[in-house]
Amino acid sequence: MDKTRVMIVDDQRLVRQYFEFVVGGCERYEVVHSIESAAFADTYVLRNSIDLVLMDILMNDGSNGLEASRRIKRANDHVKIVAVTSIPEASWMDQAREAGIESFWYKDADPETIIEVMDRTVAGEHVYPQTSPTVQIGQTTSADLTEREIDILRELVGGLSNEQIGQRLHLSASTVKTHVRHLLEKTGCENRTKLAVLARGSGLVVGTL
Amino acid sequence: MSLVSPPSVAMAEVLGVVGLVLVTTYVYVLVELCFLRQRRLYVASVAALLVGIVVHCWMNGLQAFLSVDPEWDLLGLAGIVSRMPAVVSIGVLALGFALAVRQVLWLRGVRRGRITPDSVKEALDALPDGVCFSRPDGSPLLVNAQMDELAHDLFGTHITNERRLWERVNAADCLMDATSECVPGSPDVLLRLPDACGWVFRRSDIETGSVAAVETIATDVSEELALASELERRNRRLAEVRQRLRAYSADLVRLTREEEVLAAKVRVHDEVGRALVALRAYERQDEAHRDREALLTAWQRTMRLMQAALEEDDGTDRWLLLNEAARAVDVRLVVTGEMPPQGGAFDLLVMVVHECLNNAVRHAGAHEVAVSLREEAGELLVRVTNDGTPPTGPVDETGGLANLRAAIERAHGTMLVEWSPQYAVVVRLELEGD
Repeated sequence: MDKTRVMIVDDQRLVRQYFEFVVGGCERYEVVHSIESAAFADTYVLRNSIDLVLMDILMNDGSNGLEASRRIKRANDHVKIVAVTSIPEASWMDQAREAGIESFWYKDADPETIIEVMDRTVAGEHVYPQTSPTVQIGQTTSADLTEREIDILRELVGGLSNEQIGQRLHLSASTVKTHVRHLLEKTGCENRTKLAVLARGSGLVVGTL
Repeated sequence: MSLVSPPSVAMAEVLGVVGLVLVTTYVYVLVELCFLRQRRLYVASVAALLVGIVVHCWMNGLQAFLSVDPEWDLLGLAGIVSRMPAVVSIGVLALGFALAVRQVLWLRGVRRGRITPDSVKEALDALPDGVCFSRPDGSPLLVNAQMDELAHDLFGTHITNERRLWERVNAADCLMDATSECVPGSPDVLLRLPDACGWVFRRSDIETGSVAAVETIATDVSEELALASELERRNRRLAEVRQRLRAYSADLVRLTREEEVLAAKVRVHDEVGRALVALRAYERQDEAHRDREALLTAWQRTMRLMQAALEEDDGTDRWLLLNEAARAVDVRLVVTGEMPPQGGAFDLLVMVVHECLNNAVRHAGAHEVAVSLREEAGELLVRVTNDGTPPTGPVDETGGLANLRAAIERAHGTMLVEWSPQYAVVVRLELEGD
């Protein structure tokens, strides 16, 4: 039986090598490419030499795995993709689904789990965690925040004013103000700067890629 | 004494005195109206005066008949009046009084609504702004209290010449201190003073009929300056916070990567531990059951992992990465000409070649992509061709090509897609500012 040909995309050498170690250690897989940037990942899949891509999301060269996955799907939609990240950004799972990515998992999983996710993806399943990891933000956790509050938190970490956030999310400034007040009450933060710092530090909101 | 009986002598005397006061009031009103030149009111005033005279005569006649000389009443009118009930005389007096009050109020209204030089000065003095009207040569015509006080506070003198005042305002020649600052504008001049005070002076020529004059207005903008200063302070603070947030975000990305590497190192450590256990097990096995090849392979992989843990990540050179990608799909990138330095044109060039490479593989089955670079008049001329099957007609610019054109045009470049005799993408990129 032919091995599944895998491409690993991660900007960190050690993480890349670790994935090569894990994937290469499984007899069902063969690592054919291991690259450090998502910028040209779509080129690698053009001659049908790759079956599965293990894709990091946040790259240090400005490229990102979600956009690269969209381009890969446009170039060759037979290629299956497993997105991996260590950041619990709440919106990335939805963005991954929209990009057509088959599976999504977190990097801190043990090798067996990574291989299992890959196996199920190759078998045609879409494997996503039930929920994003719950992170602590001040006196509350991400599970206690509404989707809209998380959206506003995401814009808040960019230092935007209520008016600017309202324009981006198509809300009135007073609605944004109300949401920010609720966020401050829930988290126990004294001001929006502390709230933004806490939210960004938790990794819950990194920003839209 | 009853009001329905004729008045007594004492009452008649009192009523007579009141009547005299009323007549005096009417005379005063008439004189005032004449002074105010209210011709329309003359008739009414004269009528009122007549009423006053009648009232006076009434009262006087009554008094004279009753107290002095009843024979005085030649016409018999006083006799008739003296026999009438006292209430009638009081009523006549009350009517006269009411008319007098109305006349006085009327007069006050007229005075209030009338514009006089004094009222103009009074009104200007009540303004919070300083106002000065002067002749074109600078001699003051009218200076309000605020302007006079301001000139004294700022320059130590009252206004004797408006032109001199304007020169001193423009020179910020104030008594305050050296921190005073003049911010010239047109037509306004802002005089910024210590303690966040500020006045805006505006000078304009005005013409009223044949008289030319200069109007100078000083407006207190201290509150606006304080608000502007507060806004500036808040914006500065906001910019600092945003800057710190961005720096914090960048640090967090770095920290996240470091955490990822740390986690990977922990896993490498675990793998080395496993390899050591396998080595011990190997040593305990007898020769016949030993799988030397498997152990060697496992250790080679472990060693590679350990080596990676010691190496730093390379800096990413996008051009090298693109070349690696081309080689991975069996395409040779052939470049003639000099690559631009890192910057906007370089990034766009990489984007162009990447898109052309993908299209060459997908649509033309090419194995070589040629990139010709030429610098021409501050522009980089890029021509990308391939050795694949050329298109049979014009190329629809959708998806990647459309995005590429948008990016190039955003950077003020141009793009041309040729399909005959050879498929080529020709791009002009601005090099200036790189």
